[in-house]
Amino acid sequence: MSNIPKAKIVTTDQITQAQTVTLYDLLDRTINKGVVVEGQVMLTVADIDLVMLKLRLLLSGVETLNSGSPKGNGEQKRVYEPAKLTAEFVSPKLDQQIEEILGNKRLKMDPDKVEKGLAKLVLTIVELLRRLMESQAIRRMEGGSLTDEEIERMGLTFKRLSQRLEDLKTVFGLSDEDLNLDLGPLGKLM
Amino acid sequence: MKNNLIYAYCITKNPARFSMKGIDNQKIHKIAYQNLVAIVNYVKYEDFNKKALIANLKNPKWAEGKIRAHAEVTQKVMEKQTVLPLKFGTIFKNDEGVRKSLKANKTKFLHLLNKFEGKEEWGVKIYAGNQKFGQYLKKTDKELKKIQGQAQRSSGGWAYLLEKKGKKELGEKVAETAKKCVAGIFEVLSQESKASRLNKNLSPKLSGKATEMILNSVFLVDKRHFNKFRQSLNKMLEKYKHFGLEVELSGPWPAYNFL
Repeated sequence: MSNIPKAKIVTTDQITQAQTVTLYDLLDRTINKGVVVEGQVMLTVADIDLVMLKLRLLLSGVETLNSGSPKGNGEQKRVYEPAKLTAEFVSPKLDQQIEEILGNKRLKMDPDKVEKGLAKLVLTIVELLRRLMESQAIRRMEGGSLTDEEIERMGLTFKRLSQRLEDLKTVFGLSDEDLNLDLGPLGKLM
Repeated sequence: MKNNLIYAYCITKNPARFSMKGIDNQKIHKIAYQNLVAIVNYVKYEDFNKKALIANLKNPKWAEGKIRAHAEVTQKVMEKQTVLPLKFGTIFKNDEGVRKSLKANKTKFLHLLNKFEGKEEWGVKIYAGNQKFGQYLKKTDKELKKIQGQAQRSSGGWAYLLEKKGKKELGEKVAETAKKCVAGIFEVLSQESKASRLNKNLSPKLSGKATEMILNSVFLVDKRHFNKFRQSLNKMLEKYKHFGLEVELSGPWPAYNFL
């Protein structure tokens, strides 16, 4: 099947005019935005279990989502990686559910690595508190209610705390991204 | 054709002659009511009755093929005339059902078709790396430079806190600058189009991009005005060149976002 919708590639310095439109765009429009005809229709979109459909599409990792290979005119070729495409196969309304699922996956502890999992949770909470207190400290510094000496002491405390946390992260082999828990519909923790 | 259903793609007025194939390689035909025409083809009852369709759609390969065919037919019809794209999965029992539907929705369909006459939908997505914004601001923003200077002159706890303060300010300024920049672009493009909409920015997970999406917008553009629209976009990008914006222009689409 040819590329849909047909679009010429016109590339200037900064614009990429997608030749092969992403499946996300296609799905979003044909499923979420087309005209709904009332009466006489056998099936309305509400009947389709869209959540199921799109989740399945997402999770099944369809290999050749963009089957039309970009022809290109030598100016710009877009190469999509399958993993990215799979993720595009979802409606924005769903991105919450999906993030929830992905988030849960991330939170799940591998029984073999309970220790690391536990360290991750504890360090995450400590890191969250540290950041909250640190921004409070900055606010107080700006507020001018503290003496120079107090500010110096506070700064040193936070500096050490931050260094200590870095050390602990290294010990447990955790990265900043690991500590940024994905809370699903609530978004990222930090 | 008995035991068949009718799959409808889109609605037009006075369609040009065409010959093409749609879902399941079936020949596309028209069903008319007065000057409204539905673009359809027959599909097998066993695949497209409600129960079967719902089951089939859970097979991603099957669904993808049908969704692509649906979009392709609508796209081809659109090359010759104004179309109203129907939602994927609009299926009628028979010709009579299609006609009844056209009759019942006549006013609405004609109104929309007139509204879309000579116009197309274009999508503009803009991505930006915070780093570029940050680099630019660090060089140009007085306040940030001041904090940076203070931090460099201090030591110990002071330096630490000032550095953190600089980071925080930078983050806020980056967000503010990005917002202003895309608001400006959106406003200019809105002036060059008949209608515009802002959609929710997609997370990197959905967009597949490493950089953050800072604008997800759609415009209904007069075909004759498209070059001007594009030039305006280019001009704005030139203006904000130092932010290293990445722009995706997609289209022309049927007016999905303006129904």
